[in-house]
Amino acid sequence: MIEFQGVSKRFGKRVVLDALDFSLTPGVVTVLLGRNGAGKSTLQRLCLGVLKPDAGRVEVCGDDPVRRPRDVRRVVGYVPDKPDVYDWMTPRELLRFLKPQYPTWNGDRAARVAEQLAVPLDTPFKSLSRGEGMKAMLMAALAPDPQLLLLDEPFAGLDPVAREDVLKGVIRAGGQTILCATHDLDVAARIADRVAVLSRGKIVAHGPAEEVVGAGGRAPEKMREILEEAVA
Amino acid sequence: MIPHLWKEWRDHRAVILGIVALLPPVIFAALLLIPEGTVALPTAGAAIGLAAAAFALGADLVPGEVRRGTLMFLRRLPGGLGAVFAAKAILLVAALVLSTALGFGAASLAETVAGRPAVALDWTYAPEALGAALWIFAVAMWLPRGELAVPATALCLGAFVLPMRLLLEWNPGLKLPASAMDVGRWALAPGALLVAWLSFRGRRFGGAGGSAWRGLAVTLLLFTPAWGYVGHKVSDWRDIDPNDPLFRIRWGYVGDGGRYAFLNATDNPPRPFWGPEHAILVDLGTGEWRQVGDPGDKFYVGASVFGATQSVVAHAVESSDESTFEARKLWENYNDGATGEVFKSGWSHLRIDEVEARRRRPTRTPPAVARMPGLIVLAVLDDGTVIGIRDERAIVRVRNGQEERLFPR
Repeated sequence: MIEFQGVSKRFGKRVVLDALDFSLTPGVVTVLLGRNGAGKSTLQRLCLGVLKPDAGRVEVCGDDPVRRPRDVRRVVGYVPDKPDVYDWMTPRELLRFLKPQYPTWNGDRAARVAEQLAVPLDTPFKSLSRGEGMKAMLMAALAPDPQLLLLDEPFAGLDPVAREDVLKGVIRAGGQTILCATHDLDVAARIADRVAVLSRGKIVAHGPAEEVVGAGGRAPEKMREILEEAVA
Repeated sequence: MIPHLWKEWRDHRAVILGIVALLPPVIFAALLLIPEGTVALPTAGAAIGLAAAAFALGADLVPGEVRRGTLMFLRRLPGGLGAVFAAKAILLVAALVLSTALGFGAASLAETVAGRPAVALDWTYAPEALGAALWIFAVAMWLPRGELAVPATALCLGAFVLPMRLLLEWNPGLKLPASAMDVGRWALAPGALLVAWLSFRGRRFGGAGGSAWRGLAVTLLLFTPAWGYVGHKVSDWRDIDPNDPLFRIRWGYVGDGGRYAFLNATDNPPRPFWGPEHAILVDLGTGEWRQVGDPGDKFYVGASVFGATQSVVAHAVESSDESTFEARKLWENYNDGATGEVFKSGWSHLRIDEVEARRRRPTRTPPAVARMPGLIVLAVLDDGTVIGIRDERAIVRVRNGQEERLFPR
């Protein structure tokens, strides 16, 4: 689903990803755990082909996102850490704008998610709360029935009710391959099937959630030091 | 494409409607205040309209996306940036046309209301105006803020156009063919769109820096043929090539002893690019030649002046005052007719009739030579050898009925 081989990315002198190797298991929720600035968003943007790796190879759903961005983006949904669409746009207008670009557009699913998450379809983004905006972005990302869903800090700034809505409505609906970037250990413990820990440009731990972050967020002894450095 | 056009319209409709609502009354009122005869109102109105759309819309189409953080949204669309750019360009061109038409309409109305005689729209600088408006759009993509687009465009176009302008300034009299100028003027607009597209595409992976470098590199490539063309024309203007098919000897003089020929010649086509004559000094013994002075400098025949013992060819370097046809102040170099060397320089007031009076008297030409068609006799040497201009293209020596080419060899 996602394959990173020796991928490096730097911005100026700052090395964000350093010869990173990473692969994603299909059909499960993988949480990418790391502190702010660890490179989680960079990794996701490399998956979308909006950034180009300085070295290494990225493959998403069988395609190179730099060489074949159209094919990749059509099957990958992406929710940024905050709504980045036009503030005058309503969620309904956003759906109308995006629909012609996706051959697999599923209007029924969009409607279902909108209803489930109570997205105010006719209110401009500038009048939506952060939580409502994120739900609208999630709805737009799910509408094309993506094979892979990339979530970048989807719970940041969400109140507990909205967070629960997103969890139930989407992430726990099952069947979807999801890569969710977060710095929140609790979130990782709640939603992850698998956890990858990103620190100093490399994946320092990757495995089933219970092995990395433990049940109920209590990490196994051997992982505590890694997590403290990577997340705390 | 339709959703992108809708998005652009929806995103910028406030600006466009603002132009539609405000521009006509502002232009109408402003132009009424201008005294009659100072400007052609319809042309001024159209220019203001074009500038308004270029500044308000063209300068902000892409920096606006960066400022609001929406460029990332556009960058990750499956359709890529092509449709996004096309929609922006279409909207801009439509807004430029609309705004220009509104400005023209408002100014024409002001003209009618003021009872002034109707003046037709002056299209002279339309290509440059449209080009500049689209270059603002292109250059704005390299910048973090749209407000900087206008001075940056002026700087950029100035840097690319100035070398050509300076070359033309430094070579007064050099006129480029009108067709070449038209090609350059009309190429500004499509060139701007090409640079804009490649600059916008440069945003695919990131920020303004890559976009700016890419845009500047393409601009450089686009201007290179124009620089090359102007450079070639200037070189053609400044330097003469005797082997050029267009080479023509307009006039010549052979110094004492027949060693040196002083020629005024050109290698430029007569129309539409009427080039200058060049003064060239030819050593008839060796065939070596050199250009003397600058383009436009000429040899005049002198007599024995200023105590010179040999006949003298006055080489007029520069005319400092051509305000009257009859009198010209010339900087003259006096070449020794026997050696070709300059032996005296100085300002001189020469009247044209004086120059004419200095012409050498016609030489008596041997009858056999006089019957040779296409030969203009310059000198008959003591041994009967004739030096002449063959078909305006070469200097030849005729001896015993045999013609020998001396220059160019």
